[in-house]
Amino acid sequence: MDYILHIGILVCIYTIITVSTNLLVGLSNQISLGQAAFLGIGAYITALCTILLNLSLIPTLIIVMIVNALLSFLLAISSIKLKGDFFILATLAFQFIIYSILYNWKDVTQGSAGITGIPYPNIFYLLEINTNLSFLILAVFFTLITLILFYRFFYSPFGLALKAMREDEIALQTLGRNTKNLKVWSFVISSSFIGWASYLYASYMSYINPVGFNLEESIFILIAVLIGGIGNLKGSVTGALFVILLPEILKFVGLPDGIAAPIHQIIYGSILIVLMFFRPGGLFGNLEFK
Amino acid sequence: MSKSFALNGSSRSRYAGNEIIPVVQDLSLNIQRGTVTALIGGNGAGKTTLFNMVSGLLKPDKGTITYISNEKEHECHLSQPYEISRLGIGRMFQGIRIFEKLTIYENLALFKFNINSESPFYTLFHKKAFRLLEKDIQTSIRDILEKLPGTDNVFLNDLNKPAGKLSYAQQRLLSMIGLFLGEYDLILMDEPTSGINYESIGDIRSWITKFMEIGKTVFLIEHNMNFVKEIADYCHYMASGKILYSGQPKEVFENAEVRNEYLI
Repeated sequence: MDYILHIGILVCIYTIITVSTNLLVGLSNQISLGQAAFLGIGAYITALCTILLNLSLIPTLIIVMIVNALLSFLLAISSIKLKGDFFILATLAFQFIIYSILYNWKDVTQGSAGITGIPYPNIFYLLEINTNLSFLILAVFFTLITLILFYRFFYSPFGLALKAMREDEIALQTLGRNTKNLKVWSFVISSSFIGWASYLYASYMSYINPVGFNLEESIFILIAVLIGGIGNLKGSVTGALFVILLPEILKFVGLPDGIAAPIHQIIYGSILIVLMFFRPGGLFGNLEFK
Repeated sequence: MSKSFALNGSSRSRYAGNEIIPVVQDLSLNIQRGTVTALIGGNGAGKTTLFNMVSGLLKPDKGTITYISNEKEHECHLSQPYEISRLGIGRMFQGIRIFEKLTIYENLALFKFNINSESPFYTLFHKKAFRLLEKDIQTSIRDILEKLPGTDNVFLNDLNKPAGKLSYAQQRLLSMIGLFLGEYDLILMDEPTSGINYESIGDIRSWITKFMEIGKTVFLIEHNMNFVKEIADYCHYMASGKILYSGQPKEVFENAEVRNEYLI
């Protein structure tokens, strides 16, 4: 039973991550390789707020969202003029900088040893979420809120403007839209909500280290978004289900430990190649990957 | 008749390696409010560059571009394209630049701009207001499509069709309808009749007439001289980045140099 609850919690966390990333990558076509960096920042801030300051759920979440929003704002305004590959390189650089900080700022992050003993969430010190079942309920609650909010983002005039920007930025500018603002907004919203996922991740795992937030993780997030489908909420949920459930299913195949990880990567790679040919927008995507 | 917008000594060059090639040279031009003004000239004369300067996509190297609305002067040469659009200047591009993956309805809704409604906060916290706005946009779009001049009403019948599946002429008309919906005061059209059949040219003409009936100003680039003769109040002939002749279309067409260099 605990195993199923564990899978459920991971699916919820990754759904929040893929939905948030889909707004940035899918709708506004800003391919970011720095999503794991925001996940890491949020997770470390969660650890510091809960261990050092003994803060409860809501103040920690607010701090995580504000810090992620500020950093993504700074990254967005400094890289907004870059297009295509150059923009991706800027986010890649951000990813490496944050990883280096997490790895080397040992006084704060404990370096490669990571931070242990991150407590379970508590709501205003009154209610502690200390079982897998109660954690799953909290994670489902967060996921539903995220889905409702992002449904409104996706299918609102704001979402329509992002979809239009993805197709033709110049034409949209001549229709009165400040596309720089739209890009900054999508970056800030995406990173802020990744903060929700990082809170859940850190407090559920109770241990974090920099390796969990490296470039490989950013690529993993992108793969989840691409497989599920870009510009589509159903696709984000499917992508999260897929990347969490596939390794679990493969565990039952009984692959030797030494080759399980490379086999997973071969499978992800093969699926991406097949999708590129037959469903360039992902399983449920109605926009194509550019 | 009052002035709608003016270029004063505007220039723009492009760079080919170390060589500087002037595209628009020291150009001055006034467009009168409530008129149709045509800009004619051969390929490479600088017409589209001029339009790009007016709509803010290219900044002039020197000179000014002024747009007058509500008795205020706005400096377009210092403004971003989105600011120029918000002043009331709409643009139809030479190549079709509709949003192909979006539906006909979504394409038209994008012309009805409300700055608040596109803020993410508005989206989250004003559900009721957002629905009212949506309803308002739907009503405006339906109203305009029901009164569509011409024969083709594919738009009203299939609002959820992706705009990319419309024919070339229908996509042009879609842009026209959008410009009408957008309630722009000055409309720039880059070769509105290019690549479309005679019947559809009639539809374009009807739309321009509609713009004129409600007091809009139209500035268009055109190679179809019959169309210019029928629709334009004024005509400017442009060559090598300069306006060489201006006047009523008939006068410009009868100019010997225009005839020799461009019309024949």
